[in-house]
Amino acid sequence: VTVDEAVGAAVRDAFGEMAFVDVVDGEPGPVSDVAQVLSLSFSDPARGTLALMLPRECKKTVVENVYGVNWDSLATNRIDDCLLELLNVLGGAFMRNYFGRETEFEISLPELVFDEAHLSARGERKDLFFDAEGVIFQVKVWVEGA
Amino acid sequence: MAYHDILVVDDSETSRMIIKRCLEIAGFADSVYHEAADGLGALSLLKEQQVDLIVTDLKMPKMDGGTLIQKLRNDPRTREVPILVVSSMGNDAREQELRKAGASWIVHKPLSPEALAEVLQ
Repeated sequence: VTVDEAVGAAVRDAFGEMAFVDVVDGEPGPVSDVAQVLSLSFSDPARGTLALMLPRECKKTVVENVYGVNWDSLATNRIDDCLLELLNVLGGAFMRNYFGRETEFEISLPELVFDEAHLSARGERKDLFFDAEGVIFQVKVWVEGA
Repeated sequence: MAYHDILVVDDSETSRMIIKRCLEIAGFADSVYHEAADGLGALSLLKEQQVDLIVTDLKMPKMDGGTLIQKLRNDPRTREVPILVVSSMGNDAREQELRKAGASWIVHKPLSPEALAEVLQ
């Protein structure tokens, strides 16, 4: 399984099962209006980082669908918790897809990042683009030694 | 199988809500749900409340799911209560350890009602 395939399957599962959002591969290109950057790192069996770059529209759709209520009624801490859990689930699924069920793995708690410049990651970077019902978002993956 | 009182243990409010939603769709809409944000909270709640099923995450602050399972299995009041582990972590070896410690079932996130129905019914 390649990094692209492992991320793709994890993204489709996490967005589909948690937020009822259908995701397909998207056209590579600049992602407009990125409103939220989240990241988590993994340290075993390889070191790396997974970052999720969500445009405002995509962030809103995901959170509203998960909670089943209007965006305006949601407190910031509930929005943050929802997005962090989304990346937590996505990260775990990626690790199982990429390294296999028999491999022990270690991932950090996901965190909200102020902006892309605050991402600290090393290794070869993969830029993957997805289309969430018409809105393009991006996942960046760094895997050292990949 | 009917579970009247279900305890959901997860540090994420979103995750607790999704677990409850999936359980309701999986056939447990009439159950009474109790919540705790970690193992310590769960043990505290269980001093006052009897439950028929415990659903727990693994990675939590204060007391993780693995420790919680051990404590539940060492307590005569909760020794026989079925425990469903729901986690984004986990691999074959870890799952074997958890089963040995007393987990009844293990399901990975993202959760689906179908996956829960399959193990619980």
